Amino acid sequence: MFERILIANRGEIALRVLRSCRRLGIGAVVAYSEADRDSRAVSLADEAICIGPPEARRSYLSAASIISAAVVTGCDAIHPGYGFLSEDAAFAEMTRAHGITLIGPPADVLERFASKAGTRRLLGGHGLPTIPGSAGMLGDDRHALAEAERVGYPLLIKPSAGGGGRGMRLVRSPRELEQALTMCRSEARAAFGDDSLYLERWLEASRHVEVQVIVDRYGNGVHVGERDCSVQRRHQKMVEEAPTPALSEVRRLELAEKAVRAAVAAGYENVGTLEFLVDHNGDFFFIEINCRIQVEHPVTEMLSGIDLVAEQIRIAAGEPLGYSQAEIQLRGHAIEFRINAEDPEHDFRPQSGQVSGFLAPGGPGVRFDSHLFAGYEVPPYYDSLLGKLIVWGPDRMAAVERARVALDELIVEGMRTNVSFHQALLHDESFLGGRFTTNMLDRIGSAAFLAGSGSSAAAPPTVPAAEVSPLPVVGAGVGA
Amino acid sequence: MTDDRQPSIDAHGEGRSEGRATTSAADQRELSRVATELLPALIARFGEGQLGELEIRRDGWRIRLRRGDAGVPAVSTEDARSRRATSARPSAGRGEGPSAGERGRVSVTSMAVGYFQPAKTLQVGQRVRSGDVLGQVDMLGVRHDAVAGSDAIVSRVLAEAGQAVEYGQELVRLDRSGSSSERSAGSPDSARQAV
Repeated sequence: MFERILIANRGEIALRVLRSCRRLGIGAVVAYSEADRDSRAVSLADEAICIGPPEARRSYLSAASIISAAVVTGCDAIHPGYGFLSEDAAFAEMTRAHGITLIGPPADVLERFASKAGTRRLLGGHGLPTIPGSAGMLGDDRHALAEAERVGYPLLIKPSAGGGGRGMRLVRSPRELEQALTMCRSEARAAFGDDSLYLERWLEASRHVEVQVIVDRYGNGVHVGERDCSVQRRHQKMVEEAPTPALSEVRRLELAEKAVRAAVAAGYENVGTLEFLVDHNGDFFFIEINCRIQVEHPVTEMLSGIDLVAEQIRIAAGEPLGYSQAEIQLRGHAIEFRINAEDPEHDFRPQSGQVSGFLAPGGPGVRFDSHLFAGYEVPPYYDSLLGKLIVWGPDRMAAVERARVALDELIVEGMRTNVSFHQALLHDESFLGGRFTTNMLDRIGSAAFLAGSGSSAAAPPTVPAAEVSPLPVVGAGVGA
Repeated sequence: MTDDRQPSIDAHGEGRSEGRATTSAADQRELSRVATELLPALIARFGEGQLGELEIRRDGWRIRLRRGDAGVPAVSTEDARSRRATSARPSAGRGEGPSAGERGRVSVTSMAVGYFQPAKTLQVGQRVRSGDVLGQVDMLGVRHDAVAGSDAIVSRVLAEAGQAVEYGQELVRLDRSGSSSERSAGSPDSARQAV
């Protein structure tokens, strides 16, 4: 086991990792930027070391500064948290070259799963269904039409060099496809200097469901159930829950078992998440794997009682898994709400400044993971996550009720937060009915959603679940 | 910009005439020229922007403008940042200068995380020129120079050879007033920004 771990992250996740280090009896050194000098993780750490200025490129994204910090503080492992360098294969390789273990999959495993297209092919070969699409790039219009016929409409035309929605179109018929091809080619050429296009089946009203897996280096793997992350705003997750209301128990089990079997077969190692889109028929399609701890991991911890960060550390240290699938019991229902420093009334504009007052909610089944304290300065340089409220109940409705109470109790003074959005959501019929889809919020607009709620329990907004979307902004297959 | 946003102004000589204890007549003439020609233009420019603080070096003078409290925009992190820069920890994160303590005293801080190696010749009382390399911080085999930002006298060496240092850590303290090294008696924690 490791003696001392350098925590190369900030905010709530730095604190979260620190807690697992403490529990395992491992020394914890926190690497921080100048903007985080007064943070809670820094004050609680056994040692803290400044790695650079506030600008992430020169601190939390500076591989050399982080590894050097680990070297000079005598750490034998680095925990990267999420975001920043957490899935960077080059960073993993560099860490290894300096005799330090990066907590997560080893560099060669990260490398294997680095390309999204490559990962889909790899895991597709191990039995995971992927979103149907054209075989390779499109040739002339005739080839495109033939491929479209084979895959089936509606379809998304996507540029090979894609990004940001440019050169992308949703088409529902051969006629629309013919009309859009020329435009997509010229847009893609202008934006990326490459006009090759491919087709992907467009999933109407899809849900984002992901499976948590834990795999040791000896090929033992388990799943810890799934999470539903369909409440998204512009492809950013806002609320996550487990189990998913979208699938029956039989289908959930089938999904989770397929996921862990494919991950083990493909040589995955450590804690990981396989993301899927689930369509209105309940069919699931693999989209990508996340080789890190995720923001929403507490949802799974609440159901299973497993400390996922501790598992990451144990497996990276070479320990065997030590338990079987049969020993994992998932109980009840958990929901996580991301509390962000954002102003819902002004297009969720990020906020920074001083938190003048802070009180976390409590009670049975309530967990609040946060780095906040009264007087804390929210720096403007990083993401706006202030904390995560996670509630557990024996069933979904009990969890919803506890969430309402907890959100009412939560006090964050000095800046605007998205709490009012969550409160509205907990009275929304689509959410309560378990029918939320990933593009629902963007389709009706967050402002309209909030206005519809009237911020009161008496006037819940209603969103027809089967409503058909107009053009997608970025398209299917984008998780947050 | 509203009228109550009066910037505070801090002007320091860059210590070109070493050993001076008071401002010379030539310096006063220069200061007067800076005050009448340069400052009004600077203040006007400053007023148009959103900057909280601005520092300019010209003709051997360093001029720092900082927005007054009344004019500080509602973003309080700016308050916090300036407070941090002047907090007990001397690691303001700049190679030299702005973490200056009392007049004439400046710090040379580490720009990297690693092991410090002072220059062979480095010793208290030594005169250094702006741009002189006072030591290096070895970050995974890559050396990052610790450079004097102005002509001065070394008043303290705060890190030993081979010592692990963090980003922004004070390595060497310089005395620009030229009086001598006895000022070094103050602890690093006594550093306070002059403005």
